[in-house]
Amino acid sequence: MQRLVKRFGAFVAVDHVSFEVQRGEIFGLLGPNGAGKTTTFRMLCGLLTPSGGELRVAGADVRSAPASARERLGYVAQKFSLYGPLSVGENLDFFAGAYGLRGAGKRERISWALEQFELGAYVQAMSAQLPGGYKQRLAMAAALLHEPEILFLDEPTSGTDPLARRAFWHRITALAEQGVTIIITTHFMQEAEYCDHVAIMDAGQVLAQGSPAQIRARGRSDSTPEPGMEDAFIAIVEQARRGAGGASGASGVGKVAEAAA
Amino acid sequence: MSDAAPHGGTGASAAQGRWSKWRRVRALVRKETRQMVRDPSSIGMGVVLPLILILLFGFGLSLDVRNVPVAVVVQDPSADAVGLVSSLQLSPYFQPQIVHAMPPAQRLLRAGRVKGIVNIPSDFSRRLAAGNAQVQVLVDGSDANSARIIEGYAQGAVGVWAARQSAEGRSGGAAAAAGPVNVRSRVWFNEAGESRYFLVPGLLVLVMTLIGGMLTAMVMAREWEHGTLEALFVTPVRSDEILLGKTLPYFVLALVGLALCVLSAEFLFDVPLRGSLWVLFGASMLYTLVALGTGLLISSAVKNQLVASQLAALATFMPALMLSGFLFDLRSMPTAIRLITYLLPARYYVALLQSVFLAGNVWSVIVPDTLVLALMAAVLALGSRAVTRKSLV
Repeated sequence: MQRLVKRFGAFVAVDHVSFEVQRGEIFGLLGPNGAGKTTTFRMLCGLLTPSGGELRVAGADVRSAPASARERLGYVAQKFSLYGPLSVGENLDFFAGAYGLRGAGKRERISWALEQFELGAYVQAMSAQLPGGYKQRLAMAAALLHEPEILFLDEPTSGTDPLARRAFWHRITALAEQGVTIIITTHFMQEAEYCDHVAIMDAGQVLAQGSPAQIRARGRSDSTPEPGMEDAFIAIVEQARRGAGGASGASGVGKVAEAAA
Repeated sequence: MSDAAPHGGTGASAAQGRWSKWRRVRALVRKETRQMVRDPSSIGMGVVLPLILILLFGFGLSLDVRNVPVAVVVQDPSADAVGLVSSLQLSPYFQPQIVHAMPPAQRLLRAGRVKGIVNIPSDFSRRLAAGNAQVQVLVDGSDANSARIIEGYAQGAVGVWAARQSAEGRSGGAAAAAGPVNVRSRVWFNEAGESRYFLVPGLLVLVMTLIGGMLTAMVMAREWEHGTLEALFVTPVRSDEILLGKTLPYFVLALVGLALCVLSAEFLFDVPLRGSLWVLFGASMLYTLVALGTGLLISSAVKNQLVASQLAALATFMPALMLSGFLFDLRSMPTAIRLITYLLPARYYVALLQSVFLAGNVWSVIVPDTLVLALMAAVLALGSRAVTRKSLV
């Protein structure tokens, strides 16, 4: 995607954001709350129309061919957004149908999803009554039924315990190994280590992007010679915010160009 | 956003696109039906409430006046006066209480113990013989509607008595004198004066509006509130498919409500059905589509269940109750309000219902009114599609 812009009235939520994600990699979009991660995400999924810029998902222009683009992507929203009064099995059945699956193929994918996400025992359970972690697994199962090329995950690990988070990342890396591109937002900086590439966003702009090691290197300073991801993140965001307030307002943009090169 | 053809190009892939479209609609319908059946509010509104309304309107609520307590002031002890009093006593509409002077009768009226006074003056039989007898009728006007009805009944009761008198050949001048014979009111299509003959068909309008307008007003808003619409929008499902998937189950539920009403009208309340059943069903389906369209339009536009349900009540249920001609006669409304009723689908449906139930297939009513309903349904379908699609982006 190139120079993506989203304005809500006078408020620019996403300001000329550009990044590129390779097939089969895990790409992390990091940033504090309100950084524009979710807005960027929703544009990528075709839920919002960009105010400007260019956007290609799995080779398709989301604006001109949204339906065929959508067949290739799966999306797990931050909030549980499946049907509460429907059972696990019925939700999967519905989403399989919504993606146009049928017959043997549909049954096969559903049983794959139940097995993969260990939901077999809960087929009959009402989704609204599932514990949080199971809801999240169900949402992922539903998003993967149609074997998408790209999976979008918006804050999938917020509100889950460390154990569940580890199991989650285990699944994600396995999916990426199978060639599924994963784009994920998170505000757990430790999780950035699982990503192949990350972009750090704040105030609608990409402040830095690169591999986790490159990002960490950027946070290196005299006081913290061996910065963790979190140190680096804080350093980058603070530096950009100082810059935006002071004279060198272009520093954030400069970094984007540098990182994209 | 949702509208680009999923597969362009060759005929084979277009056909394939059509098939997957129907598969998606089928999945949506199945999902929606499950949600509907599990949601207690839809069963309550779609089945229980219609049943309550049917029983309430059929048995409880009646615009007829019966056993009205009236004071009969008998100041004339003659046989003629006694005859008139017993005629009032035999009438099913009155419960006369005999007094012999005006003051106690007036006290009863003021205390609210009686709804009216029939005063037979002391010169009644003398003037009857002379051919200009008078009976005074006083009615408690605090409830204007029943006052007018009581007044009419009292006049009628006196008139019936006078007519019988003249038929029996006694006091030949009585018929001419007792003017009420001439003001005999006649109610067309409802000869028995049974208000349930028009209340029960009118119920159809309420039930269809409840299911079509009120229930569907919730469904799109619910998807917005729960975030499930987002999960839908990232699938290849298109907005018209979503709307179709929502329309079909509620359409079927509305047909159940329709059958319930028609069956109870026919077998429980013996309301005549003088027109054809096909016209009745056709008109009802059209009206249901209009109501569904209104509900979905409101629902997609406001995206909030509470606001949507209140707006739907205001925009569909209240007008259907008050301004459709179901309870209140349209002709007696002020011109401005009467003009507004032309915008209300319920008005056309009520006219259709009354004609089909009570008058028969009156094509001069059926043809224009069904056309108006069809036009409204089409406009609303396009409108809710446009709104759903727009709110996507």
